[in-house]
Amino acid sequence: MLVNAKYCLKNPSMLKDFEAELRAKGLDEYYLVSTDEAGYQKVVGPVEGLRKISLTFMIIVLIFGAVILIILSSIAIRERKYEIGVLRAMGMKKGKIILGLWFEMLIITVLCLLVGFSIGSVAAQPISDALLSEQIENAKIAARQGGIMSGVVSGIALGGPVERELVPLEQVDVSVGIDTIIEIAIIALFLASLTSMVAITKITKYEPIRILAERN
Amino acid sequence: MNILSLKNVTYQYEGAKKLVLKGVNAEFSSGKIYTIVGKSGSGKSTLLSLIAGLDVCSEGEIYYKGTSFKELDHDEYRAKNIGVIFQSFNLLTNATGIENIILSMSISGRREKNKKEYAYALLEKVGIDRETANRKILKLSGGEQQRVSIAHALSHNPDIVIADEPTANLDSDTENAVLNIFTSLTRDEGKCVIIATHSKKVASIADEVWGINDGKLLFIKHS
Ligand SMILES: Nc1ncnc2c1ncn2[C@@H]1O[C@H](COP(=O)(O)OP(=O)(O)OP(=O)(O)O)[C@@H](O)[C@H]1O
Ligand SMILES: [Mg+2]
Repeated sequence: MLVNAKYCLKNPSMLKDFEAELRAKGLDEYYLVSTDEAGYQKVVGPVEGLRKISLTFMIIVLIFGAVILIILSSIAIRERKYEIGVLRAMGMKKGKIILGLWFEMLIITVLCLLVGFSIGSVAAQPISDALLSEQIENAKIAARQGGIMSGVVSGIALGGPVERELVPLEQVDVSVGIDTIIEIAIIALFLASLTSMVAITKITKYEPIRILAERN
Repeated sequence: MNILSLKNVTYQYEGAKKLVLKGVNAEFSSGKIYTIVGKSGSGKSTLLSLIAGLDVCSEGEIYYKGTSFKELDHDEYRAKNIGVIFQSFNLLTNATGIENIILSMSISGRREKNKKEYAYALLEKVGIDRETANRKILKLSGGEQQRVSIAHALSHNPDIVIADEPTANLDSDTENAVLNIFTSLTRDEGKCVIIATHSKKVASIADEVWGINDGKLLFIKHS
């Protein structure tokens, strides 16, 4: 007699515990506990792929973003070197100038964040949908290619009918929570402060006449 | 007491081989106009920037009312005690004349009730009308910029006024008007005015003429 029972677990990391629990409850060694890897891949694979893509994107954006930010803020500050020189010559205190520039930088960063979040909130869902459906297509193609080889082995063990019922996750809700927004904002403000501070302190450490002399 | 004393002031630009100033000694007092003459490149602007507290001497010392510059808060000194008319004006070019002057008054902490009217009046003295005062510095002629720069230097009512070629871009009528302002500053308000210049006419209004030659400041003549 062939007995076949199917359980759905929330998380693949529970597999070991699940088997241990079954054995503990007296499941005979005669019975095999196996996983429907292919089915799992079919359901979750596309989302995993999406996750990989977005992670790669994030790393690229962060690295390039940081480099660009440093370059841009150095240029921005250097453009204002003359202005800084004039203000210093008028007797404005260094600290006040630094604070002023920093404040300006923060305002610009906040504006950029607002724009970024607005664009993000509008564009994230369609983009992730597009990426996800691409992933699903890829997974289908991969399944068709791999199917012939693995079909014999896994097909019998799993029992045929199962495959038809499995539908990949076609919807991922990408709405961003308030926590994430705050986190991103803090990181952005911190990065902006850091990069602008590097440039500002570099300039304000000179005597005012040096700053002015470079332009005249 | 002398308002400014220079003791053995020596200056060398970073990376330059030659000393620009070699042990300059001088005394400047209130109520007098001084002119400093000398060939181009002799170090007039350099000396003025040291007096203005915009740079520090390599050696020697400058005293303001008996206090060494080393103990003086340079920012405070620039904001309150000295007005500088630069050879290259050094105004905020993206702001208007009136804004430049009001800014400088604010930095010095002046509490005029109506800063704007005070600034307009000051500009009018150097022949800048309200329309011109409300134009960006970028959009002013060289002579207009120079006159805004003069008003700017006087805006916080400093004890010392330093001017680097203040009449270089002016016609002779405007030049006369500016020189009259300098004379009145010293005669009527007891300020100390120090002018670097090539112009004989400017030198002629001075109480004392000094010359820079080979890094030394030498007394040339009384008026
Ligand atoms: N930033 C600098 N670095 C190196 N050398 C400088 C610098 N600025 C000026 N010098 C040199 O110092 C010397 C004195 O310059 P300064 O500007 O004081 O002359 P000046 O008497 O005002 O001349 P001018 O009448 O042309 O305005 C010059 O030889 C000049 O080349
Ligand atoms: Mg000069």
